[in-house]
Amino acid sequence: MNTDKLERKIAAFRAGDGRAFDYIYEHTHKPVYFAILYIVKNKADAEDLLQETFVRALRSLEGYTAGTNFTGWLVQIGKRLAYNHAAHAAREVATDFNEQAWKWGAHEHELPYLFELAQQVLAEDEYEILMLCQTAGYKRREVAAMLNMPIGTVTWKNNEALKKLRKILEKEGDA
Amino acid sequence: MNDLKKMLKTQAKDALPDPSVKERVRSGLGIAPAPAEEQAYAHGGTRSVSKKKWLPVLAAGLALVLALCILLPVLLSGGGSSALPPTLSAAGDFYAYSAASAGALLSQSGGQAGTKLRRSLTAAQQQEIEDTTDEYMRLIESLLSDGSITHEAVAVPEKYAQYSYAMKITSRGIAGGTFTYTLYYSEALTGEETDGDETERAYDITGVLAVDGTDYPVRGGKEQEEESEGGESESESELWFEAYTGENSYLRIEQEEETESEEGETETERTHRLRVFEDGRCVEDTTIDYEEEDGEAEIKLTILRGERRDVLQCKRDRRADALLYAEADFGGIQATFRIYIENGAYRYEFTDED
Repeated sequence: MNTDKLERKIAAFRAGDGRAFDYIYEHTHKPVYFAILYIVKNKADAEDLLQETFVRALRSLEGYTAGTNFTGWLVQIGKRLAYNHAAHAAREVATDFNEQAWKWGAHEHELPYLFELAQQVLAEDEYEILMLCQTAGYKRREVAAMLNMPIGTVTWKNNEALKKLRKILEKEGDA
Repeated sequence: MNDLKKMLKTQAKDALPDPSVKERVRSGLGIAPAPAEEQAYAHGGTRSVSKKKWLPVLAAGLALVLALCILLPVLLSGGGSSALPPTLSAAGDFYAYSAASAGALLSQSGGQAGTKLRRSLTAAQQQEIEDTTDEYMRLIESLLSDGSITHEAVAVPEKYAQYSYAMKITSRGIAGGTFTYTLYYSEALTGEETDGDETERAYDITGVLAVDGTDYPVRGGKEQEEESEGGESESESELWFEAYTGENSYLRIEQEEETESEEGETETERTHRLRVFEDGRCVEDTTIDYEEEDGEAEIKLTILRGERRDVLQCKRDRRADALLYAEADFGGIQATFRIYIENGAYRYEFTDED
């Protein structure tokens, strides 16, 4: 990712150029989404929170210091919203959407099994790194920059996450 | 491990957020969506739907062509044994193919189609499919014959003296027509960075693509990244090419290649992507999937334009007298058809095959 260009687009958006939105969204929404998804474990909720994150963040861009890690800033906002959401959800009476998928349309928001498994068995940083490297298509150095991590750590955690998943899948295959 | 990576990639579309979220954010921020009447049209910059109703269809069709043109010469000339698309390993080759692609896209096209009605399609639906397909047949024609694209270095004329090189690209159609595009360009190594085991190199090309008497500014380049750690190595390269129809409107073709070596195993993946940008906004996004089974290569193109999704799958027809066998789903209208060449014109024959 070209961070200079992203910074230019942020400055343009701040100055009122709505056309910069597409670039900003396309280059930042996946890390935010996966960070949220890991917390709320539900695709529909994660999408709603992703929307809320962007609307809030882009309406209050004065809170972002130019030249720092914009994606990281968005991720922090997204995580905060996700934790709040999770806390509220825990207090609410649960409805089993999966059992009544025909009624709620929940099946449209189901995640593939592999992704659900990854949420369950991986640590948060392993999950984020795996999703960004293997699913969102980012290069490891880009992920390292986003997460403020050395590239070697990203490589290590990516491989560890893959090994963990493979081990479980193999075990399930044997069962 | 590689299977797992492949599964994560192939299932990504079901795990990633729905594209509608972006529109919801846009709406929440009060950013107006780009008006539909100002879609990008590759051959002439911004045009109005009200003036030319066929232009949106043409844009989709031409997007297909642009992607197709990268692959058809090899896929349809007998093909190799690889399930992957051909690699245009030399940057010069890539520029030539891309320039020819963009050239065909930027030029006007035409053609006549004779048809047989398919029972399940209305005449209007069939017409839409033909119109969509017809617009890009000039390029397909340019590319179907063996060695259809050639390029040669020519002298740089005075008018383009600011560029170091000139490349004449010729594509020859099956029906005998020849199309010529000329690319005037300069190329430079723009960056080389080594950080421990990681090396990055970037090359850049700038120039002009002359198509039917009109000059289009172009940019292209190649980025290479190599990394090794212990017994593992990873390299990534990206080739890209942009042809501009306006200050911030352009077509962009990308070829990405990723090679990973681990425990003696090497895996290479290549992807192609075509995007059309208008005022900096991506208005079309095309992905290309490849499959080869029993020595028969097949291309599947998926084009997203706003809410509309067009899909075209085509392969060389086993029947000697037909050029291509195609399955299309253009905005929900589904059809299978064969394309023939008769007396220098294209004829579509719709079928009831599944």
